[in-house]
Amino acid sequence: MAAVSAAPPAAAAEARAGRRPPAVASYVLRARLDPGDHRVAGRETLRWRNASGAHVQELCFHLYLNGFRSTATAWTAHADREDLATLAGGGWGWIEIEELAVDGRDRLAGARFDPPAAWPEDRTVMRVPLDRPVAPGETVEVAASFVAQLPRAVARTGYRGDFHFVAQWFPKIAVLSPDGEWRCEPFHRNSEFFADYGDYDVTLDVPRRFVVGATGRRASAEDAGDGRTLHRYVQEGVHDFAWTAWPELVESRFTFQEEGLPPVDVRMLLRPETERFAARYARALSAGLSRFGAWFGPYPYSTLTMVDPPWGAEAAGGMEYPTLIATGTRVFSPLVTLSPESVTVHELGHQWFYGLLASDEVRESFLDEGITTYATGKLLAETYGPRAWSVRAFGLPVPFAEVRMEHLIDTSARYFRDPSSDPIGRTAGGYLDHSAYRYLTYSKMSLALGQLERLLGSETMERAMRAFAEAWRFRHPTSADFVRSLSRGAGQDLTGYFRQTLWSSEALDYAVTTAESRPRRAPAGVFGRGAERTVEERGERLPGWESEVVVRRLGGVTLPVHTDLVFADGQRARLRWDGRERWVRFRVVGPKLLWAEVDPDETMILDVDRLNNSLRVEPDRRASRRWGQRLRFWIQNTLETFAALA
Amino acid sequence: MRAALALSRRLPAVVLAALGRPLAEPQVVLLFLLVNLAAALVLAAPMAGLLSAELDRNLYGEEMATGASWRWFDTVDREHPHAFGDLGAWTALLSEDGVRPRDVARLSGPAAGVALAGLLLYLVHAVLHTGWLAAGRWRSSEGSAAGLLHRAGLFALPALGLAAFAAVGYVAVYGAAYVATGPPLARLARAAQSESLHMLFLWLRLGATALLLLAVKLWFDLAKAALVESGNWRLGAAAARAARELARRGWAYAAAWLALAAGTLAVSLLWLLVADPLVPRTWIGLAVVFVLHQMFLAIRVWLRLAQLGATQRLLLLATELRSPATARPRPAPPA
Repeated sequence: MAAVSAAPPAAAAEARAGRRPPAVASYVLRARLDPGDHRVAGRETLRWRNASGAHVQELCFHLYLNGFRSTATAWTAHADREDLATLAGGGWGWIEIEELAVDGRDRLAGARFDPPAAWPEDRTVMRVPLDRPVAPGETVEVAASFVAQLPRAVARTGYRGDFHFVAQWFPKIAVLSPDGEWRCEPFHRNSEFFADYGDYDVTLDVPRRFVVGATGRRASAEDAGDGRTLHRYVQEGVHDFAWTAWPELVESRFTFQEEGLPPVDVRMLLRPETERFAARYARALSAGLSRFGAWFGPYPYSTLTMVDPPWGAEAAGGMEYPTLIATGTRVFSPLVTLSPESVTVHELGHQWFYGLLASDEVRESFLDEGITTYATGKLLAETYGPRAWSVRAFGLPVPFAEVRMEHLIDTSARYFRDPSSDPIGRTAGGYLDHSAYRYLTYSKMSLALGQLERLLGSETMERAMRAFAEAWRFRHPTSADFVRSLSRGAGQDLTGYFRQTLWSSEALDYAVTTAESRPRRAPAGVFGRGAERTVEERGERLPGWESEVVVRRLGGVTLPVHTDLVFADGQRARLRWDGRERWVRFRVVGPKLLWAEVDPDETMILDVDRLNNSLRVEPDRRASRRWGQRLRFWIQNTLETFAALA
Repeated sequence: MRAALALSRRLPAVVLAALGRPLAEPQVVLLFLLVNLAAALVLAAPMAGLLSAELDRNLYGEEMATGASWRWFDTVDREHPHAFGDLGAWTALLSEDGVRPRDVARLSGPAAGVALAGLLLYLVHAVLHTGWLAAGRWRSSEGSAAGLLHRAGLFALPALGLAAFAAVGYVAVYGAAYVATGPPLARLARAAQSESLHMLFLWLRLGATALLLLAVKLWFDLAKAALVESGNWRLGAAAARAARELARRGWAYAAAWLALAAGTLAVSLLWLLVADPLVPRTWIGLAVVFVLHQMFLAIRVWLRLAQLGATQRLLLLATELRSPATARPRPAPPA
């Protein structure tokens, strides 16, 4: 086994200065791709440092390709029919370790898989007992050889034809928490990844005709003879390594440069059919590097590689790995649909929230997905404005330019349909189902952050997010760290806000349920006593109107809210309610009330029903009549189409 | 050959005459339009009522009514899932994978109501078309008891039979040709890792399916004309005669039929171009769009009747040209 060089002195100095993370798990990998069998034969040398405060008796590895091994794994148990159909018929994936030694001593014989109780055949977690404990701060060297069979493209990895996207392909050591507990979870369909930072030196042996893209910067490309090329990639300060190889990839490059931010060599690997989108990709990537850099700190690596997987391998797209992102689009994608822009910006955003702030994507998937979705919406709104609603008819996009879709809110429709299935704060595998995982971790979390921005103001929110991003750069923040850090940055305690939105499944719903206005009259009834008793059957008409508005809190989330009352003379009254009770009644004497609206500035974007946020005193039938006409119009057209066949 | 040449020389005249016939009978066009409008109003009324309850006291009603905000439409759909039915089912009908029974089964609520009403309207139109053809053919007996009976119901049952037969034909053609060709072609496109190839296959499938549909439709129209001309209820014979006619001089029928279909296509494209800027925002706008829309539908009805009329006229011409010396005497309407 080749010796692993220690981190160079410059790297150690950068780590001390906080510009680079201290290396915990550094790998030297050599992989040979057999494109016919879609198989990778590899050798791995891992230098792992015990960064916890406890002695360690065993090492724990992730073998996530084994999630695609059979229908008896935790991953496939939660997969949908389409994914299972992809794997069936020869598309299974697996990884097998042929040799494993720790500090030169063979440990493979004692290694054991650690499956969850419900799926005993699951082999995605392997524990390797040690013959002696590893002390805090001590480093061990693990040497392994392995064979990885790629699955047919599924869950952001695999092959299709001669396209290969190679991810989770080597035995990867899990994260040891500061108290000495391994964070070593089986691969679940909802979960992504969690690993320690380190330095990677990877040599990829592939047939010469293949174009290769990978994490990190290309150090060399040498002819290996026999029609093959050795591509060597190196990258310090990352926590994973993925690569792609396909003969058809078309390369397009540019250098991102902006004052105050380090330059980035951007390499776009496009399928020939989407090569014409290069300028759109470049614009999205430049906007991301610029704005995310300004909001969350500079992108620290010198390279960024983007790959657009070919037709049929879409499952490999829409994924992030350190300095390597996979996007995806269709050949007919007008700009108004913002495809591929939205996925490109999203995956780039993960370079910060996953890449630089490496939260646990298994236990707290909402941290990276939710924050990235929020940042994506913010950037898309700033760079492109609202997108157009569009449907696809027989493969072609039909955009309705007139129908605007606002980022964050209108992309969260699924959440609004079932807001209370789970709190966001759950492990990725702990949600009701895959759909709930998606709309809570992506949509609700991003809505909660967008709402917080509206409550705090953009300047404060940006300051708070920046404080979080800087404090936890190259570290593993938890949701508690996030809330604490954000509170510090915002200058106020946000625990209560996140308790209601992050750790509660309660919905937010304010409603105006009563809005009435009647002419003001003197009291009617019996007045006085004895001989002086008088009866007023109908009180005298007094100047002005008596108006009454009831605002109710229909959901469990309690936040202060404003209500606007608008009067016939043009006056507008803004009333504040702390929202603690279930309802509040406003009584006003003055001009005739026209309407009342709760949350008139649309601050509460988590409000699950905005239809009930306003109420007119007198109905205005124009809207329903217009809708009636629209319905008639479409029904007549549909009926005419049927009748035309007669 | 001589008959074919004579027929080709007369084609323009046939098309022009066919265009003129519905114009001479505006009440027929109006009848078709009214049937459509009445059905649409009946179907739209409950949904409009529900929307009225939601929108009229809502500040966002206006924004929703202009259709400019996707959010409000989605909110109404979410709060009232039965208002529109499963809208996703309509989208599924436009899927690249073709219409599958499970997609049709997903149609629910008012969406399913519209689909069923459409099928009913299809049958009604089939009967009315046949009646219209008969009325033209048997004009000489107009006013007689036999003529009235003929127009009122004689052809109704056969037409319904033909209509059902054709409906099954459409579904079979669409389902079999489009859906069945999908998976193997999709596999080819995926193997080639080419979305362009996938799109090419998709549109070739669509084109081929459309041609098959048009062929069935043409045969169906011709069978109706043949049934009327035969003066009896023998559906099989009429369908067989239509098939023979198409085999002999299908080009002529297709030319006349497609010339008029092109008119429908042109007017539809014109409508698509003007419809968007005409989104009603005022009461006057609403009224103008309503009138324009009815005009558009009336033009389509007119062109469709002209297509039928051209088919019938060509059939008669072909009969006459086959025996130019002794024109076949017109059969008496059945008593």
